[in-house]
Amino acid sequence: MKLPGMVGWAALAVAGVTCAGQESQDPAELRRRLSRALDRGDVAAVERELAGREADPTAGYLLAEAATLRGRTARADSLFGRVASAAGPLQAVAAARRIELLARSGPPGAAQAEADRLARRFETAGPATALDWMALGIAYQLLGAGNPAQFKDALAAFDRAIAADSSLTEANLRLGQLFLEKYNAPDARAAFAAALRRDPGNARAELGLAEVALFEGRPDTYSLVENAARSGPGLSRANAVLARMDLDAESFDSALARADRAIALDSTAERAWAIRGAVVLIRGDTAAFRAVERQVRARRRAPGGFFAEIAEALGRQRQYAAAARFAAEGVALAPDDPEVLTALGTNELRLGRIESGRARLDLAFAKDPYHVWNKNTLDLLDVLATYRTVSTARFQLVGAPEEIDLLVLHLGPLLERAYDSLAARYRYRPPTPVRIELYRRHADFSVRTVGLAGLGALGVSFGSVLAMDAPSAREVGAFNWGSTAWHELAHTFTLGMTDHQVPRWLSEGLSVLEERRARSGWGANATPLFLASLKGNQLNAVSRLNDGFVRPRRAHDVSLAYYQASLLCEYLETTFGFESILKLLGAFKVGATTAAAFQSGTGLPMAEVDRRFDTWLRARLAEPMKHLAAIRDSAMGIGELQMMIESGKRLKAANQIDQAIAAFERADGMFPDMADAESPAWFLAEIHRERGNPAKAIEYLARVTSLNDSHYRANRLEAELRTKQGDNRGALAALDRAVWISPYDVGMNQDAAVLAAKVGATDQAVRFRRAVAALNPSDRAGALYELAVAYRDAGDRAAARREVLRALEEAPSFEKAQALLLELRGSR
Amino acid sequence: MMAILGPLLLAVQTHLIVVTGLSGEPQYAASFAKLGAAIVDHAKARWGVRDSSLVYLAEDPGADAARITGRASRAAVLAAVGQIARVAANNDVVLILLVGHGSEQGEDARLNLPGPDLSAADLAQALTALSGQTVVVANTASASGGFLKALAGPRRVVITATKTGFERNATMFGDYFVKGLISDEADADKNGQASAAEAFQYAVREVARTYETAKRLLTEHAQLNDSDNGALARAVGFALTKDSAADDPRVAGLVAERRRLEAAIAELRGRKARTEPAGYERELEQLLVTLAETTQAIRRVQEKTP
Repeated sequence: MKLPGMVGWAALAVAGVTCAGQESQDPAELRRRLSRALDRGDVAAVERELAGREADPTAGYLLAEAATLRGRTARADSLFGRVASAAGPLQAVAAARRIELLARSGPPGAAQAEADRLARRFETAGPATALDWMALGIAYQLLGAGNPAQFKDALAAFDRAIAADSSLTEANLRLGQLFLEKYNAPDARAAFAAALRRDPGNARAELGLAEVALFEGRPDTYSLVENAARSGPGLSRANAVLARMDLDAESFDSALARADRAIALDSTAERAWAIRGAVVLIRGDTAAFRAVERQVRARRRAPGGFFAEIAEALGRQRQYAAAARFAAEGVALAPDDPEVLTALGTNELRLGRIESGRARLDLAFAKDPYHVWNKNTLDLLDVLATYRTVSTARFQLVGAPEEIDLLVLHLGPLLERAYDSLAARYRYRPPTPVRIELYRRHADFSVRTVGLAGLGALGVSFGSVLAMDAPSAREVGAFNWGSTAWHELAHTFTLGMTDHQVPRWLSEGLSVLEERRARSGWGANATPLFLASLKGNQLNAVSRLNDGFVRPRRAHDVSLAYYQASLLCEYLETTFGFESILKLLGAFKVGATTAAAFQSGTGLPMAEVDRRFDTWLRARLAEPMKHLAAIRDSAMGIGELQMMIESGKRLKAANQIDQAIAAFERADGMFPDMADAESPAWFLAEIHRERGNPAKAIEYLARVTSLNDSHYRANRLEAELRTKQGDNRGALAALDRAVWISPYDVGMNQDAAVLAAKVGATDQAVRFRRAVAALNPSDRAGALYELAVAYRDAGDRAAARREVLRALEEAPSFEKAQALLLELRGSR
Repeated sequence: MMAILGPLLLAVQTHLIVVTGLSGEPQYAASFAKLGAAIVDHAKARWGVRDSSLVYLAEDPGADAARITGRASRAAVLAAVGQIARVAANNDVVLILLVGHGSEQGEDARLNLPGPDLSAADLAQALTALSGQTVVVANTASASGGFLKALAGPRRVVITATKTGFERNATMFGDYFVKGLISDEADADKNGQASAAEAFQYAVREVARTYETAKRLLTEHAQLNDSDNGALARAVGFALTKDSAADDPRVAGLVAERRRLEAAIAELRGRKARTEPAGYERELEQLLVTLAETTQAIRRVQEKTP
């Protein structure tokens, strides 16, 4: 959201205040005191101090800023106008501030014309003082709305103001805000930090730094904003930012109270009105929203930013269709406003309306070429244009042309199966086709999701549009693309059946639970960290479970919340039946609070659910909890378990194998559920394989692969050993798991096809043979021939004939293929 | 036997020069030795290369005395080219395989050998002695790209593991190229021979796949140049198996028919883009079935009359 200009009372530090009749007071001290009062939003102190002195230019300017802070626009305009009409050090900056007010409420174009006049005056005469430079910066900033290149001029002017007078905190604050508006967090941070160095404790600088943290998604943002709000209790903006964060955390009551507090401080605070509007919309109160809209439009005829903020807030609540609808209303009012165009385009893309979304973003980017999200997204759309779409019965799979055929082979049937399974369970059928985009570069997926690179997630569901990393986007073993797709599709169900009103904890909890139900080994498992958190009573109560997702305090809070939420869903299903979950979802669909939803689903009050779930959880995890006793300091430091593993590794490296086995076995006994690449079970499997004891190795590998859905090497090794042992079914199962970690190895797919043929799994044999062909192997004719054989064995002679002809087209002399062709013709 | 010049269907004698240069590290010494041994053994067994037509020069001749014929010095390499030129008949095929580490100083591409390096210019000069033969030079060393232009000439296929001298990392290309020449994995058209082009394409694909799998940036970009726009590289074939029918007088007619059908299929494929798809499919299937029946007839005759 574009941020309205901040007040400029720090200018008073330069201009001075004439305090007639109060000669006993030190004017410099008074200035400092009043500036600090305004920094805190303490308007009353300034008005009390300067009552009746409006005629004095400096006092008039301060009182105008005070009036601006409280949204008394007419009074501010009058006071600024008086200061601007008389020669003096504050004349230009008062004029600039008055034009800013005009831009917020006046007729379109009027402020631009005024800003242009002011800028021309300085361009002719040249600014003389730091305050003049700041006035010019403000004028350029306003002109930037029509000519984005002038934003750079504004930055330069603010820099000149700082160079002319380093004590001019206001110029630093404006610099910071402008950088933040243009998505340049590092420079914004530097500017706010400079302001704080010059004026320690400045609440607006603290708030600016907190907003940079919010932009960057730092987990400590909320406390930073709270600190700023404490430093500046009269700052409407601090309350508006907190309201936004409460809304994002799905704390709707709190968001509304904060927004109302912000509005009470400044009735023109468009952002606060937007949060209020978003909350009442989420609660389904359209009439209340229209009342909010009337309030806003009474002050501004085309409040594009208001609708943009509404749309962004709804988008963050995963209500993409509503977000697009309100953004479209904003575009109708302000068709040139890049913010609202961006909000509309972004949400259209989330809804799968790619062409329309792109057109909006193109337009927005033309208006604001500094918008890094739009730049990234438009670049991404160029990549997406090179992707190919392959359709199955209910899905459109979109991916890079070099791999989409391969990915569809595996993912297409999985998604169709998932759809049927989830539809039966949730008694709901999301609209089709569901679009799933598979990104070959993680950065592209990240941009698709949040507009910026660096997102840690693997997949996202916008409802009927899913996006995720293709398996090629990450290192082999980094994730399981099958379980990720299943997880995201589960969101499509829970979002769809609640009109996108499902809280984050429930949607994520059910998605993880559905992963676990889909396949053994998929979905999260108890980690030592989770168990230690449970033991130390550090997990969130059910009533605050959402905080783990939307307001994490520590980096690992989110992963703990995923697992805990999935266990809560498991608890509800096993204790109250799946019907209870359907009731919860139904309650959220009609806007129930969490407590009311639980009452509806379980018949219990929240506190009782909390208590009973805790008891159930401790019973559910009693076995691994027992092991935890042996792991000292397991949550944070290198505990006994880790020390034992390291010891085992050292002994193995020193070829002291018996001692290494003893160390690993001891570690394994401490926490048998550990199954990652550094787990004792994996090391023991390797040792037993090397020692020629495949049965024992398989025993450990089976445990690793049943607990960890992303251990590629373990699955490959298990397949190899089981094949040698003659356990073809077990080997095939291991390779079938490995495919969901990385499907790209030609040899693996060939081995799987051979195993499938041996055990009579003809459909699987065809799938793996098709995968080999899709991998464009060097022996393409051979791959097509083998595919033809697989089709023949599966009874699909027409497909067999088609493939053998393709093989022979590439290699006419291929005798085995010739024989198969004759065989197939002979049996027609 | 023998290399085959496909379109001419002309059986010719193959001559082989293998040079493995300075290894630098034991792992490379082992890798170079493995490559050298593999191709020498295959050349003797499958291509019928006689001892007089085979030169294998290595950094340490004592490392594999049974196979290595001399030390890989610059002088020995140039002498080997001269030796083969003396025994090779017109139209014979000479395969020169260079393995090792390369370097480039200015325009001067080199293969690092014990003593003075072998430069591309040295080799180009020596190859003038083989003007009557079809020459395939494969420099599989790092920084080998400079050999491509320097060695280009009539009746020559030049293959390098890298595009330029700036690609200095140790290469994988040689391993896959040799594998392509001696195993049936590169035989894309399943005609029992690996052409220079097939071995090259196989190696390029497998190198790319290996880098991709390891999530590494591809640091070697192999190149192929021949004097006939790629046709020569496709025509020079190295036998993988012996075709028992080729020299069998009892099936000469059927073999001739098979060749006619193969040529007809090649001609049809050549005009695929200009042919209506259904008609193309129909005609292709007809030819393929007839070809399959012809092959079957050949095998029946061979099975019945030993």
